[in-house]
Amino acid sequence: MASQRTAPVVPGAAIGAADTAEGGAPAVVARGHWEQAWRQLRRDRLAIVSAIFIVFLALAAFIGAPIAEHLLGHGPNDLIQGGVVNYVPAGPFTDAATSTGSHTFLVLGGSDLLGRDEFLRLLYGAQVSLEVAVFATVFGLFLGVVLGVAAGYYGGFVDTIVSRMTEIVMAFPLLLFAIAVAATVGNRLNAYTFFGFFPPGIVTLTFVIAFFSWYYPARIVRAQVLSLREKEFVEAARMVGNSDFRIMRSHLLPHLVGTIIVYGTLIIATNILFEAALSYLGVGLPLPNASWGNLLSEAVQFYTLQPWLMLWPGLAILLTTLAFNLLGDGLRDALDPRGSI
Amino acid sequence: MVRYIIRRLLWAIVLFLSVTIITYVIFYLVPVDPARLAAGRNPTPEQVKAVGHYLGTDRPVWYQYGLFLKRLVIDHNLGYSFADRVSVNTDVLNAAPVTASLVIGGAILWMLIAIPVGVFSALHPRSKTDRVAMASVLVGISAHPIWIGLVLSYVFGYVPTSGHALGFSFPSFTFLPIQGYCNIRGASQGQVCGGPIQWFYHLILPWITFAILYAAFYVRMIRANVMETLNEDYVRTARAKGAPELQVLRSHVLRNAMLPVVTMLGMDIAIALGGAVLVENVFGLPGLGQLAVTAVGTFDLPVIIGTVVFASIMVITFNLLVDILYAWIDPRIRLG
Amino acid sequence: MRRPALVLSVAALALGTLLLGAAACGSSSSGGGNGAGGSNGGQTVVPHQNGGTVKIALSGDIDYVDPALAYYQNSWQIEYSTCLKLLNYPDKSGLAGQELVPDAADLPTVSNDGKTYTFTIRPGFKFSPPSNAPVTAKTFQYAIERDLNPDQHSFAVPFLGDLVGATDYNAGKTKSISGIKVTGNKISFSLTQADPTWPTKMAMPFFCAIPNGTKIDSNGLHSVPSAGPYYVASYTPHQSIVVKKNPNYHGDRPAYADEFDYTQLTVNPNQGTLEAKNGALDYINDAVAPAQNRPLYQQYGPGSSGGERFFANPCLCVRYMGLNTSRPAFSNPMVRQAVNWAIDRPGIIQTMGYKVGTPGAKIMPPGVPGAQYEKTIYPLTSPSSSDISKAKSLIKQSGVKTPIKAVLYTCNTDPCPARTQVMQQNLKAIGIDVQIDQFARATQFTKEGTKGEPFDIADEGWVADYPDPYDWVNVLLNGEHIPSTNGSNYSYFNNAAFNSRMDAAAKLTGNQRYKTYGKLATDIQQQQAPWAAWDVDNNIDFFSARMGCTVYQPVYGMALNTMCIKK
Repeated sequence: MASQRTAPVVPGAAIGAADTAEGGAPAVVARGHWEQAWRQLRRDRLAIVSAIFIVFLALAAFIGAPIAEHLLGHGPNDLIQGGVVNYVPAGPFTDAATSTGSHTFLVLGGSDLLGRDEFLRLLYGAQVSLEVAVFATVFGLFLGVVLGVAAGYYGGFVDTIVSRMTEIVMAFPLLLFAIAVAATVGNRLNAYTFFGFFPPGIVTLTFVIAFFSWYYPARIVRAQVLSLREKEFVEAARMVGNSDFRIMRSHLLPHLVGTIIVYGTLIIATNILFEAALSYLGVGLPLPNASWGNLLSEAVQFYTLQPWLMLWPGLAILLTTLAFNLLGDGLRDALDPRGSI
Repeated sequence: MVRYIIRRLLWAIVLFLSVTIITYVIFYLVPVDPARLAAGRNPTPEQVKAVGHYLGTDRPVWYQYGLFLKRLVIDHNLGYSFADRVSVNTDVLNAAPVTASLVIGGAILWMLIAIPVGVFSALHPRSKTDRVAMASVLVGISAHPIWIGLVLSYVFGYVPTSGHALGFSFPSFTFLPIQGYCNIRGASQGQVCGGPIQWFYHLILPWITFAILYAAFYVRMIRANVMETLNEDYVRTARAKGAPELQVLRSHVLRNAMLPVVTMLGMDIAIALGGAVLVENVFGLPGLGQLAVTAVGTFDLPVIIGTVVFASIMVITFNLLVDILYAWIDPRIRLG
Repeated sequence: MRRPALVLSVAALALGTLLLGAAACGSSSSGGGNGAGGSNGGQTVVPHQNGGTVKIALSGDIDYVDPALAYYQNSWQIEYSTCLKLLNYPDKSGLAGQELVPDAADLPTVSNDGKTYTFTIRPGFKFSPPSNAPVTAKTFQYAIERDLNPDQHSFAVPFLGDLVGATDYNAGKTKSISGIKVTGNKISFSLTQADPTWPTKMAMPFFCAIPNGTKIDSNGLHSVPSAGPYYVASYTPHQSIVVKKNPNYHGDRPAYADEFDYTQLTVNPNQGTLEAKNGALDYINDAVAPAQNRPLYQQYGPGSSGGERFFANPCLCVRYMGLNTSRPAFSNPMVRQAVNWAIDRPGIIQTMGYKVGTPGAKIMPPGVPGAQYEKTIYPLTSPSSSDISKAKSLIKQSGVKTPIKAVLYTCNTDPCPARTQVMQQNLKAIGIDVQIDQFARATQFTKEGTKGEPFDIADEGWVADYPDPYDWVNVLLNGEHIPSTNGSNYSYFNNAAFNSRMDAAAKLTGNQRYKTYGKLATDIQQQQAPWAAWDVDNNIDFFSARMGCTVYQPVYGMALNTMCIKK
């Protein structure tokens, strides 16, 4: 996608012009690939805004949420009695009575159908979405890159195997797998909360999503490796006697970093949608912990009474996914403007 | 070519076997006795055993799998649901047209949007239209289909019918249905809606929801492909030769740009035919996705396997068709 | 000469029609007052038209229409209006609706040893089209044979265990059931042991009259002629059901509408509720969106101007926390009693919705004969501070050290996590730390039914098969025969004294049986408290504006055959 660039990139002249303007002798500074990419990215305002949004969201979710919980005096899973007035969830900015008689403030989102603070649940849901999306992407990328490089480099039998595995995953019953994983090793996996940092259920979700998203980067990496391995430097490396593994790691991988970064960001975006879908269908994060998908599925029941319950999680998903997509696009433009990835 | 097809068919059989075996294995890894669920409300342990014997779930897994294969290959029978003993063939054959209606209709819709918008954007890059299109595309791929479906269903379905929104009341009218599916061939006994018009009417919102996400992807893809093709030498040659723009577009650009699109289209439709779960769930369409979700919830193995069989057949068929089509269109590609 | 004759005959005709009309409209029983809940006491017969088609939608499909297999509550609701049984429950609400009355047969005669029951079939009943055959004693014999047929794999088999020759017939060893004898219009059953619940069991929909020779189909037939006021004309699984009036029925039970069309079997609750409000649907029960309960109750509840359209009546079910007596946490009865004092019954119900249930602390729900003799021991309101201190002192007296660690098993879909959160909160206040483990529902009760499973509290509920205290007290709390898997006694309650009291009570008949069970249940809850029962769920029913006359039958729910379309 063409980013909103203002000045056309003219090699040589711009670089030279800048240096001349500084008043010294015109020196030609060779900019590295990464530095060029960074400069390109900096000019893409949308990508920068997205990156800032993501950082802000992460801060709000991981640091802001506990602070808000402390300030408000109640947690995201606490049932606040005054939060449900006559069986209708309370609106935003309600001063609700708790069961112990004290008062507590329901900010922004009001409460959900059980009297829990929607705002806090949104923030904690952001934690879940970010954690699951990022970790699932990391694992999926790892798996996909390893398999894709192997398939592209070795070709032949290995390639066939990997391609066929891709087809199997596509025809696979996703839901059954998700439920089966949750039902069998789920309780044990869910116990891994990384010293209480993660809500239970993250590990299972990450595993399931990674399992179903590795084939996308694998395919892309494989195509790239297929073209790369014909290049001279690979042949040279082979002649020098490098092992296959060495070639893949030291010679091919650096060329793939750009692809990995770009697709990684885009896959995070899809994984956010994926996690929300799984939670909506009930096989994602177990209640009562909040995830954006959970919030959406609960909102359906009450949309006849409080339609804005649908609004917050949907908007949150939209903005976050949009940010990751814009960032990914910006990275792609910066790292490979000719669009070969 | 023939050898290629044979090899692909052999692979198809391997794929089919692997997926079904894995499904059986996963199913029995879950520590639930399906006989318990199929034995009625409050069964005695003896009753559970009797039902287990009747359903065959007390046999070893490999025996059950062999029985399933034999019944499928020889009798063309997918078995009977554990939950209500309805023939799975009937279930799948009733659900498949629903999903097909949604997916194929949605595919037509998204291509109707994606091709003109993508081509136009590619021909006029960075114009106002292009920017608006790209922005909409971004929103389209970022908004969750569940959310889009719920909002559409609420705004155009529930609000007009209920007669109030945001605290205001107004005379209610039916604009679009909130959910539901009508059989294109007409209402069966006892049902209220049927026939092609009702069928279409009930699918409008689902088609829009389903198409938005894919349309966005395809606009980007078509735009990128067309832009890349426009830079190719042969296009420049054609233009230099004086061919009219429309002809250049039609004969050279589109044909080449659409090839990878065709591949993606085939794959996307194949996967979606396996069950467009989310849209079906939001709009209450009794398709394969809904069938799979309920079956998994009640540990109804025959129905689960039935949907898996159908999904793998779709994936295999479409992949094969697309590969053959691709090879046929582009003589440079040699299959195998 | 002719004119007076003409006038006379016209007058006679008019009078006859008037009488017939009055009989048809007024022949329905005006029931006694309804015990709990709603104001839909007896049948209020309003001006109505006979006939018409009633449109119904379900949000959860039925299981079968075949009497040998149908087991869900919504299929039994249909069968209540289609079946002709030996004995039946009357089309009345409240206590009157719990008493068995003659249907196809008079009340049976019992032999002195209580092992033989003889029913005399009344004449004049015929099956619906396409059968049109008369109902005889042989048809009831066939119904039971079909249920026990080894190829039918019916769910009725466990209830026929006491019938002589049933087991052999079901195993395929004999060609007929030796315990059933038919002579003329009498059918008699010989049992292996005295079973006072036999007539009650015979009133289950499994034992509907079906035409002699109805096909055996283990997958369930999709239309079965029946001899009640209505019959199932067609059933397309997942799509629709059509129930039509039986033209051959001339019995006492009411039947107004011509046809019931179940137009949708998996409707979205939001849509279903809207359509019932607007009149596009006439009746929904499970399709009422729980979030709408309160607005619907306010607008259409008792005393509303257009007539009551929204009803919440107790079902034949109880929700309870099964306290595992076989594990250290709850092995002491005083700790279990403390739980009963400390839980916030209204608070738990509130997490599920408005009028979703009524707080209860008894073992038996209203609707089970004998429940009226069971006393409520524990508070039905939110626990006061004295309740909490009582609970705490009970735990102190027991000598068990706090904090007590307990593991609770519950399901993983709404509203389980929310309600168990309240329970957790309640128990924390008295020193019990509850860890909540969620499972898919099927996994949950499989685990709970497995002996030795490490859980302390089971978040459970029970829906009876037949309204007799045995199906509550003995089945759920007798510790003599707890199986190693798939058990129903989730508290693993095994108290020798109570076991023998239960066995003794099972042999009693008549009102003495119910009084004894009532006292027994009270004593169990008061002394041993193996459960913390907290609610009796409500069946929610919502009608369109044009529906009327309906009666809430305590055993089967709203009776279809009592529904009429108002003029």
